[in-house]
Amino acid sequence: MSDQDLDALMARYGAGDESAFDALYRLLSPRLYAFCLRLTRRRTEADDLFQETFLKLHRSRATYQPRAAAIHWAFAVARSVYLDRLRFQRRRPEAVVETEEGLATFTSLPGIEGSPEEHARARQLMTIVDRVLRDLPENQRAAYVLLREEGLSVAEAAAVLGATPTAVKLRAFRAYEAIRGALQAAGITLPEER
Amino acid sequence: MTPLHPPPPPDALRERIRASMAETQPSGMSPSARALTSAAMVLAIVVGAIALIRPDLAQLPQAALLTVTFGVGLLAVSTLIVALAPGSKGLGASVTLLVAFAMSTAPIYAVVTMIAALGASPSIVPARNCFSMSMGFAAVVLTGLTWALRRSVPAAPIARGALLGACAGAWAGLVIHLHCPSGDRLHILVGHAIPVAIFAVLGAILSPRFLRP
Repeated sequence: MSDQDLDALMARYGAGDESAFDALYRLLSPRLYAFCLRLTRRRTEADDLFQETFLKLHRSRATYQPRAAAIHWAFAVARSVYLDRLRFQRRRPEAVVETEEGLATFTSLPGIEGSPEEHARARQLMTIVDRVLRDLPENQRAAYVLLREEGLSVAEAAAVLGATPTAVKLRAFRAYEAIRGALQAAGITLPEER
Repeated sequence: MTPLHPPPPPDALRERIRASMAETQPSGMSPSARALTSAAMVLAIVVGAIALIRPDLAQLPQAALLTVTFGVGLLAVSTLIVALAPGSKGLGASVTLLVAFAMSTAPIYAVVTMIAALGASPSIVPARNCFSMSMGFAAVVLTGLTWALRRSVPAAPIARGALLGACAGAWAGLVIHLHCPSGDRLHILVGHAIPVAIFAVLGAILSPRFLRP
Protein backbone atom coordinates (compact mmCIF):
# COMPACT_ATOMS: atom_id res chain seq x y z
CA MET A 1 0.00 0.00 0.00
CA SER A 2 1.22 3.50 -0.82
CA ASP A 3 1.11 6.89 0.86
CA GLN A 4 -1.93 7.70 -1.30
CA ASP A 5 -3.75 4.71 0.22
CA LEU A 6 -2.80 5.97 3.65
CA ASP A 7 -4.14 9.45 2.81
CA ALA A 8 -7.38 7.95 1.52
CA LEU A 9 -7.74 5.85 4.69
CA MET A 10 -7.10 8.89 6.87
CA ALA A 11 -9.70 10.87 4.92
CA ARG A 12 -12.22 8.05 5.46
CA TYR A 13 -11.37 7.88 9.14
CA GLY A 14 -11.59 11.66 9.42
CA ALA A 15 -15.05 11.50 7.89
CA GLY A 16 -16.10 9.14 10.68
CA ASP A 17 -15.56 5.71 9.09
CA GLU A 18 -14.45 3.61 12.09
CA SER A 19 -13.76 0.57 9.90
CA ALA A 20 -10.75 2.36 8.40
CA PHE A 21 -8.88 2.33 11.72
CA ASP A 22 -7.30 -1.13 11.52
CA ALA A 23 -5.80 -0.59 8.09
CA LEU A 24 -4.82 2.94 9.06
CA TYR A 25 -3.03 1.71 12.19
CA ARG A 26 -1.24 -1.01 10.23
CA LEU A 27 0.06 1.48 7.67
CA LEU A 28 0.76 4.40 9.97
CA SER A 29 2.21 2.75 13.05
CA PRO A 30 5.68 1.57 11.86
CA ARG A 31 6.84 4.99 10.68
CA LEU A 32 5.04 6.89 13.41
CA TYR A 33 6.47 4.64 16.13
CA ALA A 34 9.97 5.02 14.66
CA PHE A 35 9.53 8.78 14.73
CA CYS A 36 8.36 8.65 18.37
CA LEU A 37 11.41 6.55 19.27
CA ARG A 38 13.68 9.10 17.66
CA LEU A 39 12.01 12.00 19.44
CA THR A 40 11.91 10.52 22.92
CA ARG A 41 15.05 8.34 22.91
CA ARG A 42 13.43 5.93 25.39
CA ARG A 43 11.20 2.99 24.65
CA THR A 44 8.72 3.59 27.48
CA GLU A 45 8.44 7.30 26.64
CA ALA A 46 8.05 6.40 22.96
CA ASP A 47 5.20 4.03 23.83
CA ASP A 48 3.43 6.79 25.78
CA LEU A 49 4.03 9.35 23.05
CA PHE A 50 2.82 6.95 20.37
CA GLN A 51 -0.35 6.18 22.33
CA GLU A 52 -1.06 9.83 23.07
CA THR A 53 -0.42 10.77 19.44
CA PHE A 54 -2.94 8.20 18.24
CA LEU A 55 -5.45 9.52 20.74
CA LYS A 56 -4.92 13.06 19.49
CA LEU A 57 -5.24 11.85 15.90
CA HIS A 58 -8.49 10.18 16.88
CA ARG A 59 -9.79 13.18 18.80
CA SER A 60 -8.98 15.75 16.11
CA ARG A 61 -9.58 13.51 13.10
CA ALA A 62 -12.34 15.77 11.75
CA THR A 63 -9.76 18.52 11.30
CA TYR A 64 -7.65 16.44 8.91
CA GLN A 65 -7.30 18.25 5.59
CA PRO A 66 -7.89 15.71 2.81
CA ARG A 67 -5.14 17.31 0.71
CA ALA A 68 -2.56 16.76 3.47
CA ALA A 69 -0.22 13.78 3.56
CA ALA A 70 -1.53 11.71 6.47
CA ILE A 71 1.94 10.65 7.59
CA HIS A 72 3.12 14.29 7.68
CA TRP A 73 0.07 15.27 9.69
CA ALA A 74 0.75 12.40 12.10
CA PHE A 75 4.40 13.47 12.45
CA ALA A 76 3.31 17.04 13.17
CA VAL A 77 0.83 15.86 15.81
CA ALA A 78 3.45 13.58 17.41
CA ARG A 79 5.94 16.42 17.60
CA SER A 80 3.30 18.77 19.01
CA VAL A 81 2.52 16.21 21.74
CA TYR A 82 6.23 15.74 22.39
CA LEU A 83 6.80 19.49 22.75
CA ASP A 84 3.89 19.67 25.20
CA ARG A 85 5.60 16.97 27.24
CA LEU A 86 8.91 18.83 27.13
CA ARG A 87 7.18 21.99 28.37
CA PHE A 88 5.61 20.00 31.19
CA GLN A 89 8.97 18.49 32.11
CA ARG A 90 10.62 21.93 32.14
CA ARG A 91 7.95 23.18 34.54
CA ARG A 92 8.29 20.09 36.73
CA PRO A 93 11.88 18.86 36.36
CA GLU A 94 11.57 16.70 39.48
CA ALA A 95 9.16 14.47 37.56
CA VAL A 96 11.93 13.37 35.16
CA VAL A 97 14.52 10.83 36.22
CA GLU A 98 17.28 10.25 33.66
CA THR A 99 18.64 6.72 33.58
CA GLU A 100 20.47 4.68 30.99
CA GLU A 101 17.85 1.95 31.15
CA GLY A 102 15.40 1.53 28.32
CA LEU A 103 17.25 3.69 25.82
CA ALA A 104 15.71 3.23 22.40
CA THR A 105 17.90 1.69 19.75
CA PHE A 106 17.62 1.31 16.00
CA THR A 107 20.25 -1.37 15.63
CA SER A 108 18.18 -4.29 14.36
CA LEU A 109 19.53 -5.17 10.93
CA PRO A 110 17.18 -7.51 9.11
CA GLY A 111 17.93 -6.08 5.65
CA ILE A 112 21.72 -6.23 5.68
CA GLU A 113 23.57 -8.96 3.82
CA GLY A 114 27.31 -9.50 3.62
CA SER A 115 30.25 -10.72 5.63
CA PRO A 116 30.29 -10.71 9.43
CA GLU A 117 32.78 -7.84 9.23
CA GLU A 118 30.40 -5.74 7.14
CA HIS A 119 27.57 -6.61 9.49
CA ALA A 120 29.62 -5.59 12.53
CA ARG A 121 30.68 -2.38 10.83
CA ALA A 122 27.07 -1.48 9.97
CA ARG A 123 26.01 -2.20 13.53
CA GLN A 124 28.82 0.00 14.87
CA LEU A 125 27.78 2.79 12.50
CA MET A 126 24.17 2.65 13.61
CA THR A 127 25.10 2.54 17.27
CA ILE A 128 27.09 5.75 16.80
CA VAL A 129 24.25 7.41 14.86
CA ASP A 130 21.82 6.40 17.63
CA ARG A 131 24.07 7.83 20.31
CA VAL A 132 24.72 11.12 18.52
CA LEU A 133 21.03 11.60 17.71
CA ARG A 134 20.10 10.98 21.33
CA ASP A 135 22.40 13.78 22.44
CA LEU A 136 21.31 16.34 19.83
CA PRO A 137 18.85 19.16 20.57
CA GLU A 138 15.28 18.17 19.71
CA ASN A 139 14.95 20.54 16.75
CA GLN A 140 18.12 19.22 15.07
CA ARG A 141 17.14 15.62 15.73
CA ALA A 142 13.65 16.08 14.31
CA ALA A 143 14.94 17.88 11.21
CA TYR A 144 17.55 15.18 10.58
CA VAL A 145 15.10 12.30 11.07
CA LEU A 146 12.47 13.80 8.77
CA LEU A 147 14.94 14.64 6.00
CA ARG A 148 17.38 11.74 6.20
CA GLU A 149 15.42 8.84 7.61
CA GLU A 150 11.86 9.59 6.54
CA GLY A 151 12.87 11.04 3.19
CA LEU A 152 10.72 14.17 3.37
CA SER A 153 11.61 17.14 1.20
CA VAL A 154 12.85 20.31 2.89
CA ALA A 155 9.49 22.00 2.25
CA GLU A 156 7.59 19.04 3.71
CA ALA A 157 9.82 18.90 6.79
CA ALA A 158 9.45 22.67 7.24
CA ALA A 159 5.65 22.30 7.18
CA VAL A 160 5.74 19.46 9.73
CA LEU A 161 8.13 21.31 12.04
CA GLY A 162 6.51 24.73 11.61
CA ALA A 163 9.85 26.26 10.67
CA THR A 164 11.34 27.94 7.61
CA PRO A 165 13.06 25.75 5.00
CA THR A 166 16.35 27.52 5.72
CA ALA A 167 16.09 26.75 9.44
CA VAL A 168 15.28 23.10 8.71
CA LYS A 169 18.27 22.76 6.36
CA LEU A 170 20.55 24.36 8.92
CA ARG A 171 19.33 22.10 11.75
CA ALA A 172 19.70 18.97 9.63
CA PHE A 173 23.14 20.10 8.49
CA ARG A 174 24.27 20.56 12.09
CA ALA A 175 22.95 17.10 12.98
CA TYR A 176 24.69 15.58 9.97
CA GLU A 177 27.95 17.28 10.88
CA ALA A 178 27.70 15.99 14.45
CA ILE A 179 27.15 12.46 13.16
CA ARG A 180 29.95 12.78 10.63
CA GLY A 181 32.32 14.01 13.33
CA ALA A 182 31.45 11.10 15.62
CA LEU A 183 31.86 8.58 12.81
CA GLN A 184 35.20 10.08 11.78
CA ALA A 185 36.40 9.79 15.36
CA ALA A 186 35.48 6.11 15.13
CA GLY A 187 37.35 5.70 11.84
CA ILE A 188 34.30 5.73 9.53
CA THR A 189 34.16 8.33 6.77
CA LEU A 190 30.94 9.84 5.43
CA PRO A 191 30.75 12.08 2.34
CA GLU A 192 30.69 15.86 2.86
CA GLU A 193 27.16 17.28 3.25
CA ARG A 194 26.25 19.38 0.19
CA MET B 1 23.88 5.48 4.78
CA THR B 2 22.50 2.08 5.68
CA PRO B 3 18.73 2.10 6.11
CA LEU B 4 17.70 1.79 9.72
CA HIS B 5 15.18 -0.75 10.93
CA PRO B 6 13.36 0.46 14.01
CA PRO B 7 11.56 -2.01 16.23
CA PRO B 8 7.82 -2.25 15.55
CA PRO B 9 5.32 -0.95 18.10
CA PRO B 10 4.43 -3.64 20.65
CA ASP B 11 1.11 -5.41 20.07
CA ALA B 12 -0.03 -4.52 23.58
CA LEU B 13 0.14 -0.84 22.63
CA ARG B 14 -2.49 -1.30 19.97
CA GLU B 15 -4.91 -2.73 22.53
CA ARG B 16 -4.16 0.12 24.93
CA ILE B 17 -4.83 2.63 22.17
CA ARG B 18 -8.07 0.88 21.25
CA ALA B 19 -9.22 0.96 24.89
CA SER B 20 -8.32 4.65 25.29
CA MET B 21 -10.04 5.57 22.05
CA ALA B 22 -13.25 3.96 23.21
CA GLU B 23 -13.29 6.48 26.07
CA THR B 24 -12.37 9.50 23.91
CA GLN B 25 -14.94 11.35 21.83
CA PRO B 26 -13.68 12.81 18.55
CA SER B 27 -14.09 16.55 18.34
CA GLY B 28 -12.81 19.49 16.39
CA MET B 29 -14.37 21.10 13.35
CA SER B 30 -14.17 19.89 9.80
CA PRO B 31 -12.51 22.32 7.38
CA SER B 32 -15.88 23.22 5.83
CA ALA B 33 -17.52 23.85 9.23
CA ARG B 34 -14.52 25.99 10.12
CA ALA B 35 -14.94 28.10 6.99
CA LEU B 36 -18.66 28.50 7.64
CA THR B 37 -18.07 29.58 11.24
CA SER B 38 -15.51 32.14 10.14
CA ALA B 39 -17.83 33.45 7.42
CA ALA B 40 -20.64 33.79 9.98
CA MET B 41 -18.32 35.71 12.25
CA VAL B 42 -17.31 38.06 9.46
CA LEU B 43 -20.98 38.63 8.66
CA ALA B 44 -21.67 39.47 12.33
CA ILE B 45 -18.79 41.95 12.32
CA VAL B 46 -20.02 43.60 9.13
CA VAL B 47 -23.53 43.88 10.62
CA GLY B 48 -21.98 45.35 13.80
CA ALA B 49 -19.99 47.84 11.74
CA ILE B 50 -23.12 48.96 9.85
CA ALA B 51 -25.11 49.27 13.08
CA LEU B 52 -22.39 51.44 14.62
CA ILE B 53 -21.61 53.49 11.54
CA ARG B 54 -20.58 57.11 12.17
CA PRO B 55 -23.20 59.77 11.39
CA ASP B 56 -20.91 62.08 9.41
CA LEU B 57 -19.97 59.66 6.65
CA ALA B 58 -21.84 61.58 3.97
CA GLN B 59 -19.86 64.75 4.73
CA LEU B 60 -16.45 63.07 4.37
CA PRO B 61 -14.39 63.12 1.14
CA GLN B 62 -15.80 60.00 -0.50
CA ALA B 63 -12.71 58.99 -2.46
CA ALA B 64 -10.52 59.04 0.66
CA LEU B 65 -13.19 57.29 2.70
CA LEU B 66 -13.54 54.52 0.15
CA THR B 67 -9.77 54.12 -0.22
CA VAL B 68 -9.18 53.80 3.53
CA THR B 69 -12.18 51.52 4.06
CA PHE B 70 -11.12 49.33 1.15
CA GLY B 71 -7.53 49.20 2.45
CA VAL B 72 -8.56 48.23 5.97
CA GLY B 73 -11.13 45.72 4.67
CA LEU B 74 -8.55 44.16 2.36
CA LEU B 75 -6.15 43.86 5.29
CA ALA B 76 -8.80 42.13 7.43
CA VAL B 77 -9.83 39.73 4.65
CA SER B 78 -6.26 38.85 3.65
CA THR B 79 -5.21 38.07 7.24
CA LEU B 80 -8.29 35.85 7.60
CA ILE B 81 -7.52 33.99 4.38
CA VAL B 82 -3.88 33.37 5.35
CA ALA B 83 -4.85 32.34 8.90
CA LEU B 84 -7.37 29.77 7.65
CA ALA B 85 -5.53 28.60 4.52
CA PRO B 86 -4.76 24.87 4.50
CA GLY B 87 -1.42 25.54 2.77
CA SER B 88 0.17 23.45 0.07
CA LYS B 89 1.01 20.64 2.53
CA GLY B 90 -2.31 20.72 4.38
CA LEU B 91 -0.63 21.93 7.57
CA GLY B 92 -1.48 25.61 7.17
CA ALA B 93 0.33 28.49 5.53
CA SER B 94 4.11 28.56 5.84
CA VAL B 95 5.53 29.97 9.05
CA THR B 96 7.23 32.74 7.06
CA LEU B 97 3.90 33.92 5.66
CA LEU B 98 2.16 33.65 9.04
CA VAL B 99 4.84 35.68 10.81
CA ALA B 100 5.06 38.26 8.00
CA PHE B 101 1.30 38.88 8.10
CA ALA B 102 1.12 38.85 11.90
CA MET B 103 3.91 41.40 12.24
CA SER B 104 2.84 43.71 9.43
CA THR B 105 -0.92 43.96 10.11
CA ALA B 106 -0.76 46.56 12.91
CA PRO B 107 1.79 48.85 11.15
CA ILE B 108 -0.12 48.68 7.86
CA TYR B 109 -3.40 49.42 9.65
CA ALA B 110 -1.80 52.38 11.45
CA VAL B 111 -0.27 53.81 8.28
CA VAL B 112 -3.44 53.44 6.19
CA THR B 113 -5.75 54.97 8.80
CA MET B 114 -3.39 57.71 10.02
CA ILE B 115 -2.23 59.00 6.63
CA ALA B 116 -5.79 59.63 5.54
CA ALA B 117 -7.18 60.54 8.96
CA LEU B 118 -10.80 61.36 8.21
CA GLY B 119 -13.02 63.61 10.28
CA ALA B 120 -12.82 66.51 12.64
CA SER B 121 -9.24 67.22 13.66
CA PRO B 122 -9.72 67.68 17.41
CA SER B 123 -10.45 64.43 19.18
CA ILE B 124 -14.09 64.57 20.22
CA VAL B 125 -14.06 61.01 21.54
CA PRO B 126 -11.68 59.90 24.29
CA ALA B 127 -9.14 57.42 22.93
CA ARG B 128 -9.84 55.06 25.81
CA ASN B 129 -13.42 54.60 24.56
CA CYS B 130 -12.23 53.47 21.14
CA PHE B 131 -9.46 51.43 22.73
CA SER B 132 -11.96 49.56 24.93
CA MET B 133 -14.35 49.04 22.05
CA SER B 134 -11.58 47.75 19.76
CA MET B 135 -10.33 45.38 22.45
CA GLY B 136 -13.86 44.10 23.05
CA PHE B 137 -14.57 43.47 19.36
CA ALA B 138 -11.17 41.87 18.83
CA ALA B 139 -11.66 39.61 21.86
CA VAL B 140 -14.92 38.30 20.39
CA VAL B 141 -13.34 37.68 16.97
CA LEU B 142 -10.23 36.02 18.41
CA THR B 143 -12.34 33.76 20.60
CA GLY B 144 -14.46 32.75 17.61
CA LEU B 145 -11.51 32.11 15.31
CA THR B 146 -9.62 30.14 17.95
CA TRP B 147 -12.73 28.07 18.58
CA ALA B 148 -13.11 27.44 14.84
CA LEU B 149 -9.49 26.23 14.59
CA ARG B 150 -9.32 24.41 17.92
CA ARG B 151 -7.20 21.26 17.99
CA SER B 152 -6.33 21.59 14.34
CA VAL B 153 -2.92 23.29 14.30
CA PRO B 154 -0.12 20.81 15.03
CA ALA B 155 2.61 22.90 13.38
CA ALA B 156 3.56 26.53 14.19
CA PRO B 157 0.67 27.20 16.62
CA ILE B 158 2.33 30.34 18.04
CA ALA B 159 2.70 31.96 14.60
CA ARG B 160 -0.87 30.95 13.72
CA GLY B 161 -2.12 32.33 17.06
CA ALA B 162 -0.33 35.62 16.43
CA LEU B 163 -1.93 35.92 13.01
CA LEU B 164 -5.37 35.06 14.40
CA GLY B 165 -4.87 37.83 16.96
CA ALA B 166 -3.75 40.32 14.31
CA CYS B 167 -6.71 39.28 12.16
CA ALA B 168 -9.11 39.81 15.08
CA GLY B 169 -7.53 43.24 15.64
CA ALA B 170 -7.89 44.12 11.96
CA TRP B 171 -11.62 43.24 11.93
CA ALA B 172 -12.13 45.25 15.12
CA GLY B 173 -10.15 48.04 13.46
CA LEU B 174 -12.51 48.00 10.49
CA VAL B 175 -15.52 48.44 12.79
CA ILE B 176 -13.88 51.23 14.76
CA HIS B 177 -12.76 52.96 11.55
CA LEU B 178 -16.38 53.10 10.37
CA HIS B 179 -17.63 54.11 13.82
CA CYS B 180 -15.27 56.73 15.22
CA PRO B 181 -15.56 60.32 13.89
CA SER B 182 -12.18 61.45 15.29
CA GLY B 183 -9.50 62.57 12.85
CA ASP B 184 -6.82 63.03 15.49
CA ARG B 185 -3.79 60.91 14.61
CA LEU B 186 -2.78 60.29 18.21
CA HIS B 187 -6.32 59.14 18.95
CA ILE B 188 -6.24 56.79 15.94
CA LEU B 189 -2.88 55.41 17.00
CA VAL B 190 -3.86 54.78 20.63
CA GLY B 191 -7.54 53.91 20.23
CA HIS B 192 -7.54 52.09 16.90
CA ALA B 193 -4.09 50.80 15.90
CA ILE B 194 -2.48 49.76 19.18
CA PRO B 195 -5.24 47.19 19.93
CA VAL B 196 -4.32 45.44 16.65
CA ALA B 197 -0.73 45.06 17.85
CA ILE B 198 -1.83 44.04 21.34
CA PHE B 199 -4.05 41.32 19.90
CA ALA B 200 -1.26 39.93 17.72
CA VAL B 201 0.74 39.44 20.93
CA LEU B 202 -2.27 38.10 22.87
CA GLY B 203 -3.04 35.66 20.06
CA ALA B 204 0.54 34.35 20.16
CA ILE B 205 0.32 33.86 23.93
CA LEU B 206 -3.25 32.66 24.50
CA SER B 207 -4.37 30.81 21.38
CA PRO B 208 -1.71 28.07 20.92
CA ARG B 209 -2.91 25.94 23.85
CA PHE B 210 -6.34 25.72 22.21
CA LEU B 211 -5.02 25.35 18.69
CA ARG B 212 -2.76 22.36 19.35
CA PRO B 213 -4.35 18.95 18.76
